Amino acid sequence: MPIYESVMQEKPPIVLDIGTAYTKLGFAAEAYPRKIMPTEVVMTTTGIRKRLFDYGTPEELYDQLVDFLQTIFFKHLLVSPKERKFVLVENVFGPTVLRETLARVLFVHFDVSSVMFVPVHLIALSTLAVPTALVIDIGYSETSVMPVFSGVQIMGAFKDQSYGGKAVHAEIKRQLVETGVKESLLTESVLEDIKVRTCFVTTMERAQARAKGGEDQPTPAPGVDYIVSDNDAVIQVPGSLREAVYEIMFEPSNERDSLPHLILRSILDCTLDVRRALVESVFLVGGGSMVQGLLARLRQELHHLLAEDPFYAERFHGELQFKFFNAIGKQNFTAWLGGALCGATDLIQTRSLVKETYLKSEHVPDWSNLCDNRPTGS
Amino acid sequence: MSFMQPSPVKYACSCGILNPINKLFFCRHCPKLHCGFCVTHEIESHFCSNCLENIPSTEAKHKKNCCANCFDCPCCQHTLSARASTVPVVRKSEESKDVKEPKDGDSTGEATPPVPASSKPSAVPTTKKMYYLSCLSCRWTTRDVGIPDQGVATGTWPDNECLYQARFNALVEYFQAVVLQEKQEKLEFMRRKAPKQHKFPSLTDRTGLTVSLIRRQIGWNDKVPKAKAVITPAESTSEVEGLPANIFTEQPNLRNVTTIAQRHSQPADQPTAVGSLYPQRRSLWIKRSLRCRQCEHNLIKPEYHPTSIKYRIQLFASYHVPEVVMVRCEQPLVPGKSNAILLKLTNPTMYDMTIRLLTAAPPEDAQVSAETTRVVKEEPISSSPLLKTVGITLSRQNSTREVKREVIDASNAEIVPLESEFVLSQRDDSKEFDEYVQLPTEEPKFIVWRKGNKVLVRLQFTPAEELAFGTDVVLGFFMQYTYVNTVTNASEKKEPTTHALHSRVFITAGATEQKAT
Amino acid sequence: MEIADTYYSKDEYVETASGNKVSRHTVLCGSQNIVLNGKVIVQSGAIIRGDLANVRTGRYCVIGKDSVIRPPYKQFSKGIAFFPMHIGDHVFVGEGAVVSAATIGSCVYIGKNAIIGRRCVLKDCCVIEDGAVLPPETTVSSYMRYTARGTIEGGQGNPYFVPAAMQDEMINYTKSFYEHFVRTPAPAS
Repeated sequence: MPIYESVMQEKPPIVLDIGTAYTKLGFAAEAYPRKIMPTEVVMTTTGIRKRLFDYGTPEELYDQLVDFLQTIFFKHLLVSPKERKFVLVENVFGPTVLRETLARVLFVHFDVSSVMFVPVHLIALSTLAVPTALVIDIGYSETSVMPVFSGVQIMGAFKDQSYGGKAVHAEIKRQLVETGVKESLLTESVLEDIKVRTCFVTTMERAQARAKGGEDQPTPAPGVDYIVSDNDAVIQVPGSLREAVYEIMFEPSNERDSLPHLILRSILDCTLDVRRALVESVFLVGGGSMVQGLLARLRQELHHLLAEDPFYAERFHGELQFKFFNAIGKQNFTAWLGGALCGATDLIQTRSLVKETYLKSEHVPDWSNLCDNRPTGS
Repeated sequence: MSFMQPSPVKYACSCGILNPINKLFFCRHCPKLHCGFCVTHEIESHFCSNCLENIPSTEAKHKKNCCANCFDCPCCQHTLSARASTVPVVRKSEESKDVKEPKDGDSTGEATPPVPASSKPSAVPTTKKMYYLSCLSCRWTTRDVGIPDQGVATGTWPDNECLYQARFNALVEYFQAVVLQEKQEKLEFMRRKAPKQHKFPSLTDRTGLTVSLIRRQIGWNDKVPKAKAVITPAESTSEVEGLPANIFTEQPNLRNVTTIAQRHSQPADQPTAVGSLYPQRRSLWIKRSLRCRQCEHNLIKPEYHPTSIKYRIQLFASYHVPEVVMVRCEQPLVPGKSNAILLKLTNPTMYDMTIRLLTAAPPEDAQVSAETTRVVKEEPISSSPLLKTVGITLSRQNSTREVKREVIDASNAEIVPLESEFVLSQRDDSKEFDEYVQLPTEEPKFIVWRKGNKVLVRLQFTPAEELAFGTDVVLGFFMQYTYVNTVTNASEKKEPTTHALHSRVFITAGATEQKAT
Repeated sequence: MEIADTYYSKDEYVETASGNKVSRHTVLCGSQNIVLNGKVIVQSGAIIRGDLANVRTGRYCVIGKDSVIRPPYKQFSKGIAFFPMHIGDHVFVGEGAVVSAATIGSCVYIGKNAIIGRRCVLKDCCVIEDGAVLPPETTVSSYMRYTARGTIEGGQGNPYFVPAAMQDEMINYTKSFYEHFVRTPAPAS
């Protein structure tokens, strides 16, 4: 095959990052997604709006995906999916049925030309042009930590926990219901709005003072009156709630599964030679990481744990400074951006799953599936 | 019939999904019904829904599928309209422009025309119109974010730029270079492993002197000095941004904090303060055409122009398939009690139709099935081996087969099939103005009345015994009708052929009422 | 569903020569400026403000009960001017709707209690859902459905939101509505 500069194709590949709460969609080689939309679908048969990933059977998921992707192609991206290349950013540990159904919808129903699945954590690093980092993705349904060294994901050290946006919403709801707000007012969109506009992560000192519950608690931040747009009801959001909801990520527990613990344990699960490099390169991506004060608090907690907790003090040696990367663009589409970078290169020709290959077996090669990973004779 | 409520009569499409007749299309070549799910959608043309301007697809791609003239309000996502304010241009030795500012600075910029400015008595009073964009549903204006008024209504509104575009471009180039390098190295490696066998002896075979050997001796490393792709990787820092000092003391003003929807409408910068929201260009809409998957013929093709409502090709089901409309049930629905339903059937075609209502599937029409199998067996045009290696095949890609699903038979009532078949006369628009004349022909007993191409039929049924109170009674039957195919299929037949097609119809007759005790 | 016969009492409705059926309980201001092109039904409680500007309706329109048809205005520095209003053929205006649009095309369905802001432009074959509120000066292009939430969906060729055969459907609907709008039969003596 002739080696010349890969001709900028007239039809750039489509890059999709279908998250649990929001979907980022756009074209490769563009600096930001065309649209960030909620992952909801209006069923064409019934007309009700529901989350894409609420499904009963795989057939229902298939139909919902068809409707969802049809809206994406014909209302937002305004391109025909036929004979187009795709880059899908996906969670490596996500359910296989999602991957398979998505591939089937794209190849069989929409007749696309090729699909390339890229892992979230790895591809987010390409936006930094750095080969090694500890990538933390804070999403809606879960938070996952994956170390990457020299461009290779260390799967054995993967950690995840189910606190993400959803858990924060539940916490806000719980606290508000305790103060007497009617539960029917607290829909998902209201909770999300309260979380995004009023809440933040407080400093470690204040959190510890509150947890101690002593007399001299620092005065809480001022509360805010939140007006629900539809029916003009006013919800009093107390200042203590604003500070305290994100504490679910930092709650000390015996199982050591709050966010700073996840990070440290993940580093410990890696071999000795990579640990220092990982400590000095921590990268947060995902919508949940855009909250004010998260990075500062995380740094404080990590240093505190290294100093105080004997479990970690024994294992981490030397002067360690945690260093964080700043993402270009916003964190909620950093993974998408990595996919866009990948789609702009020639990898899309060499590494994607082509339609003919897929249709022979109707199966997407999976890292966890032994049939795909057995060394064959060829 | 209302547009807000779902229709009670549903037909089973060829893919198994039930749809009312206004969502179905009829393909004349493989005479079958199709719905929006089992056809391929294609993009026909782009247009802006506000200025109704047709935009060619290349320009649409270039402009990122956004209209050049129309903007959306960043607060409420409705359309912005340009408002003019007159500004006097004073022509004197010192050129000064007076701009009348609206008195209120917060977001209640009224769209009222300002009082004309008073000009200096001795200057030549020329007024110039300065435009600003304002939203009529939430009163947001461009003056709220500090965009200066423009002299022309369209075309000069600034676009907010992406701050990291330069870095992104550098990254794209770097990665493209890296991937290419890898590919080159791999090819070099393969080449060195398996050297090409030349047919003819080369000059260097005997002496073992090759160009690369000489070059290496001289000291030149490679044929072309490869430029190593470099990029400054991002640097991690331990300096992180803390909380702003006043967060613990100041009460946030929620009017100045953007909501998630507002942030997502500007994906590049997603501002948190309302004062940084920029008006976004309005995205375009498309007209689409539908194509049958099996025979690749168009089912719908709309006109190109945005304001035209006509279609170039319109194969709606309501033009070819008899339409069944439920009039009413004769008696309130009680489980177990025999009942009758009145159905109005309409023949939309130009030929007389013979209709039969059956409870079991009629035998497949031999003629129809032979034709469809013939169409499917078309051999793909063989492509040369060279093209096959590249991955291009010239055959028509007919691999978009869809998985057919079984029609869910949700009927829970027993139907007494009609005794005989009946004829629906053709559609004749001139008959609309004729007086209604009762023809003295023998009519089967189940026909209540007949007018032109419409007929009112009485169908007996019994809802099943075990139905609970309030469940919907669903009737299902097969309707067999003769269809005259006017499509001339290339070679043979010139005169239209008649097929007996059938459709499965389900009618939701209503909820059961209390059993009279 | 087939449309059931809607009965009106003989004294309530006036039937004109061109087939318009106008209820006596309507408020028709400036009736010399109102042009009903033929076979138009104006149901009781409707208000048509012909005194502000010309109102022209096409054939087979149905103006629902308690609806308001008011021509739009435009503010100038010297005051307010009202613009004539054009409604196309086969338009169905639902009950309680307040319509101030500048132009309404043919074969449009406006749902119950919809509020159409001033100087809106509704093109042919569009659907406004029940209870939708259109801000002023919005354009709803053909085959688009304006939802009650405030979003626009659909498009020509999209079979889901607005039926593709909308024109024929509206023609049939308005024609059969007119045919079934009959006088209460006189009681058998």
